[in-house]
Amino acid sequence: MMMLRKLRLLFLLIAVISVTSCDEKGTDVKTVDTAPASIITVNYPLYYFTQQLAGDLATVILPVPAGTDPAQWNPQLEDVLRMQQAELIILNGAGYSTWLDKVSLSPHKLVNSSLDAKDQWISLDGQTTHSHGPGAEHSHSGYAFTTWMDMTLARQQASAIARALIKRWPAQQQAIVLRETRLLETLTELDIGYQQLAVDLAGKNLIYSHPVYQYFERRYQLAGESLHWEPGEMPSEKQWRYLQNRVAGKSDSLFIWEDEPSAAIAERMAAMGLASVVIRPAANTSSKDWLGEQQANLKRLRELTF
Amino acid sequence: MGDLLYLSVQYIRHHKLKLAVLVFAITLVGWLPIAVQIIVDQTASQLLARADSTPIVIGARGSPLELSLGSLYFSTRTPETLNYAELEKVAATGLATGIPLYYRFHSQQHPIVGTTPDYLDYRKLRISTGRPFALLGEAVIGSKVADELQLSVGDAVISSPESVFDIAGVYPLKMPVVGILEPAFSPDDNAIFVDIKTSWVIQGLGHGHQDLANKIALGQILKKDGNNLVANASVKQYNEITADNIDSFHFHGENSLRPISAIIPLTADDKATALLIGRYQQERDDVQIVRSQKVISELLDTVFTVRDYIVAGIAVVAVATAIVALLVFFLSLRLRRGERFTLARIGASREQIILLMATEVVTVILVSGALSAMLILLTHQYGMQLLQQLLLS
Repeated sequence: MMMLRKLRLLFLLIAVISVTSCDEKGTDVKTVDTAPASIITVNYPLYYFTQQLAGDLATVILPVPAGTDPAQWNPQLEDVLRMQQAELIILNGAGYSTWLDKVSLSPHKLVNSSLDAKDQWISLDGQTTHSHGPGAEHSHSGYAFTTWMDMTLARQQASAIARALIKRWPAQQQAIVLRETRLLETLTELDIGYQQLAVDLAGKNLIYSHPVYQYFERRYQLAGESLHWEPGEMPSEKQWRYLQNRVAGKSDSLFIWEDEPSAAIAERMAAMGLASVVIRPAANTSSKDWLGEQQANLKRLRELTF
Repeated sequence: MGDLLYLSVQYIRHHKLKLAVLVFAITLVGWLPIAVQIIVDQTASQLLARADSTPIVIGARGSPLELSLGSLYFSTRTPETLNYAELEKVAATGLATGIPLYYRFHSQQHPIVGTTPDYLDYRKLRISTGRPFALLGEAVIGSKVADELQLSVGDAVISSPESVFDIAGVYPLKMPVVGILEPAFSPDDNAIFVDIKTSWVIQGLGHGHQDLANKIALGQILKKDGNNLVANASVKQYNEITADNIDSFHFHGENSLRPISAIIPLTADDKATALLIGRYQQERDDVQIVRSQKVISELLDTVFTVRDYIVAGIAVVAVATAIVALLVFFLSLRLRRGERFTLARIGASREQIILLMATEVVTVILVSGALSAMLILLTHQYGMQLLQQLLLS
């Protein structure tokens, strides 16, 4: 029986081989690609970390156009083809790049920089679940993703990138470790800076313009309410009334913007007597590098007067 | 000498049927054992070449032979599956990275192989026209698929239902062809390559449908319970992934729990290969790691055994044929006794008579030998293709 089974398989196999065979091209040689190595990143902090860590090992690329929120960005075909050619693709994790399920990339090139801190990801509630036909109920739930605004998580992300670089360029381990040490020191300084300033903000009535500060709130114990206000878009009267009620009788209120609000919005807020400050997560490129943006955040917080 | 030649030709012309039968029999006996040897050697060489380039394969517990044949030739229709998480486990060993394969589905008779772009690099498959698959739902086809289905870049392939009776099953997925591979003279020529996630969409593990929060879909909502929307089965699901609807495609659950057929581990060296095999054999009961070369060699042992039986059978037939040929020649000589007597009486020498009698034997042997040699050459060049037509017809 066993012999017959093998023979059956063999005949099938011969048929399969025969369909395709003449001469196996075993000695085919792939053209050596001489293009410089590239690393793709998906947001500005990861771009900064990778640049600091990689030095001149590779060209670090952030393919997201300026002015676009990287969390809302979807790569075009040419972006995906460029990613396929890259040595590494540095991801933020926590469901940041929702387009990953829609593109074809080598899993070995993907570096989920916050995966080691998965237990610290903040789950978002209130996601709509649905079911249809015979399928089971399912949801498209997710996590808060602005992980780098907790500088301890940012440190972990930087270390994960350093490990990926060492794995890819093991001969450069010493140099990468040295650069990692410097970067981690910088992030620690930022963390200490935020912690010191958070002491002054503790207990204040904090209102955030957007729900992108979850990790910042948790790390620096600066819990507040997140609205959905765009810095360049005048809120409706209903939104203003809501804000008015929210800060009424609370002189220690502080509105935290993710970017500089328009002059009209700033004027009206000032007229309400509501203090505001810009704390940029700096997810996308700007005139400063990411570290510069964070230092500017600290500077604005230091200069803050109620 | 000219007289002898004339008499020989006349004799052959007069007895052409008898000689043709003899030539046919001796030609077959001379050609068959060598033809079997050639076919077996070519098969073995191709089998081993593919196995050599893929020394180890990881798959679910089951038949090592079917796992090897499936992962090398995509020849198993309903393979046992393992979780995609196994790919991360392979990487976590630090000994190898892996290429996933999911070859459950077909488009007509061509296997649809769900994998990653790494597979094309690994097999050194080059794109002749178009580009590699880059987006969900795109397909790159082998050269034979393109030839047989008359497809070019911009056309589409459609996945075949697994069962014609599965009317409530998953809709076939229409996949645009974005690239055609150069001929590789391997099973890859006959395959359709898609991203592993596309093969999950074919299976129904991921899908795109109308936005249920959209007003247009309100008529399809059966109930809303808090954040949970329950829709009826009339919600429009897409059977083609386009730029307009790709954003609606999503998967349920974790990637790590989705099925794959096999993993091709890529190790840095033989030591890493040995360590990986040892680790899997010692620590894992739920999956198997097989040495393709060993499995294929065992299969070839069966081939060689069959070949030996065939050759032995042909040898017996050859002996019988030789005896019959000798008998024919002997009887022929006896029948030509009168001819020899006449030749002697009209003045032919003894040597001339022997030469004339030998012409029959020599002609049969020479013609048979030439035909055998020609058939052997043809077998070497076209034997596999002829065998294929024979097996597939």
